Amino acid sequence: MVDNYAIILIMILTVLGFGALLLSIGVLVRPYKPTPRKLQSYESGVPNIEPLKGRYTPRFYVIAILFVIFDIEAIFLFPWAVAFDQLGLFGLVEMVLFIVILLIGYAYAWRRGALEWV
Amino acid sequence: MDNPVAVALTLEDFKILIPHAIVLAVALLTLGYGAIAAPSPGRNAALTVISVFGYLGAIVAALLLTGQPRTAFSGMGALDDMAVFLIVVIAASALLTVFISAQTIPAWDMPLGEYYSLLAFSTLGGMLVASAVDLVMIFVGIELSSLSVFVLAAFAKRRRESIEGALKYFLLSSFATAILIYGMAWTYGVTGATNLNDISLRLATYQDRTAPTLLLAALLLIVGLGFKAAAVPFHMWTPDAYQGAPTPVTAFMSVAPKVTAFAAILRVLVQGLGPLREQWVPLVIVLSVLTMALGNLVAIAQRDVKRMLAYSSIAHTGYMLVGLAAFRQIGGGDESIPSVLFYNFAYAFMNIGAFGVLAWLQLHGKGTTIDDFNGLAVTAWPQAAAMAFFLFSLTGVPPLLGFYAKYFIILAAIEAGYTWLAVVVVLLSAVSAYYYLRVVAAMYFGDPAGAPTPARTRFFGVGLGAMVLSVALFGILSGPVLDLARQWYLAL
Amino acid sequence: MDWATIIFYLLAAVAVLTAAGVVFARNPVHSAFALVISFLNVAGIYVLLGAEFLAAVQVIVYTGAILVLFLFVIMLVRPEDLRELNTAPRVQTALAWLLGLALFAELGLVIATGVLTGARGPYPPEEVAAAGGNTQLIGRILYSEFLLPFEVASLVLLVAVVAAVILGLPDRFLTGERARGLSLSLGHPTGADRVLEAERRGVPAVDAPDLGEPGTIDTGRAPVGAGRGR
Repeated sequence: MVDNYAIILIMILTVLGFGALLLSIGVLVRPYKPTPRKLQSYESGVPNIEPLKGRYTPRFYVIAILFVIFDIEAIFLFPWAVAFDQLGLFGLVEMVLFIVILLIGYAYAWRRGALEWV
Repeated sequence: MDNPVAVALTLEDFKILIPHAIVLAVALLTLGYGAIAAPSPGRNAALTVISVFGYLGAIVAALLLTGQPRTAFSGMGALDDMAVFLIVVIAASALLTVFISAQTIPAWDMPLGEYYSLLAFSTLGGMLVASAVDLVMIFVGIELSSLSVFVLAAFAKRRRESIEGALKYFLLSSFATAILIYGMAWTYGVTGATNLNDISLRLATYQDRTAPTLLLAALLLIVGLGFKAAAVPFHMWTPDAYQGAPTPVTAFMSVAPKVTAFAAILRVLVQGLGPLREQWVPLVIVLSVLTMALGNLVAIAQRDVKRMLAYSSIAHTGYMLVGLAAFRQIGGGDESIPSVLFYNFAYAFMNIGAFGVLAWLQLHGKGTTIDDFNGLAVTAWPQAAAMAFFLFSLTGVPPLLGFYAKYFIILAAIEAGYTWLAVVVVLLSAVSAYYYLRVVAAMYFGDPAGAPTPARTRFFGVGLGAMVLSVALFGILSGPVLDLARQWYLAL
Repeated sequence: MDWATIIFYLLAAVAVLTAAGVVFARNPVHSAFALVISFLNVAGIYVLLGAEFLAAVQVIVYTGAILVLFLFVIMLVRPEDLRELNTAPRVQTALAWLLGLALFAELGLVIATGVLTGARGPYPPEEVAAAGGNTQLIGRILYSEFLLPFEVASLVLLVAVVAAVILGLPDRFLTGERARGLSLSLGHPTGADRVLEAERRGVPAVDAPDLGEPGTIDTGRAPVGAGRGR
């Protein structure tokens, strides 16, 4: 079973090696003539009007937390899907109940405006 | 490979979840209705009615299910009589909290729907722990219970102290949870079971009960659960979290999570690790003495009544631990666990009552320091009388509820041969009289410092009255209630 | 030593070293990335133990979701502020070290002296293989034997959603002073009108009063995202 992971290891090494290769080719080939304007961080072509480091509204954090919560919900779906043929209708009812409970949370967050942007 | 999983569940099995289902319905209804309807006095009244009848229904449903213990859901849950007793205590503390919250929370501009919903979720978590016979179930129950309380503690989020207290509670509690789950992992590693009855059976067959792995498992479990019950030295979060939270929340979180923690302690230590009694009892004795001593002695120094009650609630954890330390074996002749159950019952009424009067004062434009109580007997005699009543009961003055609670604990300690521990309880109760009665003295002999500003609090008054009545009535009826606890414990 | 043992020590060593890096790195962003490496190595250890589902959870939830959350926090709270907060009294730091080392010694002692092969659980490796693998068996057990805790877990997640909304959103969202109904307005910032108004009056957008709603604690500084009204 563990041997199957040798393939994944080879893939990881290939990806790392390929990335390193591309980056080093870039360093060798590209010209390097920095000017202050070139070194600015990219702001969709508009000149920077405020320092890069600032505060963001905590509303973003709510989105991040909601992401984590529904990510964990998704995790519960994996073993259920794999064992579905053995669990049958009973398993379906269980999972529907689970998802309905979380949908209540989703509807609540929506209703309270947690999904509105800024 | 088609190998269908058979889940043995009959309709009867769902019976054990009826009280839980009612409280879940309260949680979902208050959440949904609170979010859908625009805020108005009518909506708030409807939310309160849902909560009150929900908790009453859960209590009645649980009481109707006494005497017919049933284990279901692959041994995850059981509604034995001990579960019923604890469920009634937890649901009753939620009910009393509703009475002191209904007018305070809207007056302080906090969303009532979410408030009731979180209250119900926390109650549900505690009830699930009370009827859990499996480490996994206990864990998710404790998490549901405390996660809701973290949010309630931060409910006054515009106040810095509320956020600070809640954050301390949350961070330390997460740490304790990690320790608890690590202890559960070790227990499973050693015994190969998560079901508490299985654990107990396997432990009983072990020759060497002082194996380091076993001791570590027990130690980690005690530390994790001791934190949730606010036992010294795991109490650091308590004063700040209690003081920062809105007062009705403090009333709830000083009772329900503590009862939940004791439900878990009784299940895990007594039902699961019962065969390791000789190993964990010395540790519980040390914890109980530390907890009683620190709680009572630090409470003396407090000028703020809310903080004083926070320390006093630590002291009460200590008394309950004394009862636990007197545990010898499950079954007849052992008075320890019934005394702990009775103490939890008594503590719920008198402590929520004391915090309730505090919330009443705040609702009427007063603060929470001892000076705010000056001359309350003149300006608002019913509240002053109620407060005096609760404080006398907390001190343990006969014939009130608190006296019998302490009496049974002391009796259990003496029967188990820990006379010195009983003496410590008595001595420290005498110390506690000093800080409790100081408030009574301020109310009756202090100069009135301005009358409380008027506010609409009829419903609130009904709740306080009910608590006064309970403290008096159950004090007189303490014999029968203890018999119930004993009989239910014997049926375990 | 077979390959599995060598790989285990490799993974364990990297996991421990990067975990130390999380604690000792001065820059919180470096800490977060060290944590990514640590989590990935722990996932590798799970694979070695045959707990493949746990390994997948470790990667998806921890290296994926939790780390995103950590980076959000680092973005919300500027690293400079964190350094100001890190002023624990010397006694406390010393005590923390002492107790931490004591715990380490205690656990080390138990692991070194204790008999670690306790009773076997109900599912030895042979049975796992017979059931069609780790994930399949977890599916079978979680949704039959452990169905009650599983459903309670959904309630815990529901409370987490409610908690995030209550603590993360400004008060006016909770007391119902805003437009109601199940509607979504993507790309139409509610604070944009105020920002535009402020700009017309020549006040720089960043200094426009009452921008966005940083929620609860007054930071004394306008939030960037809200200020630009994107």
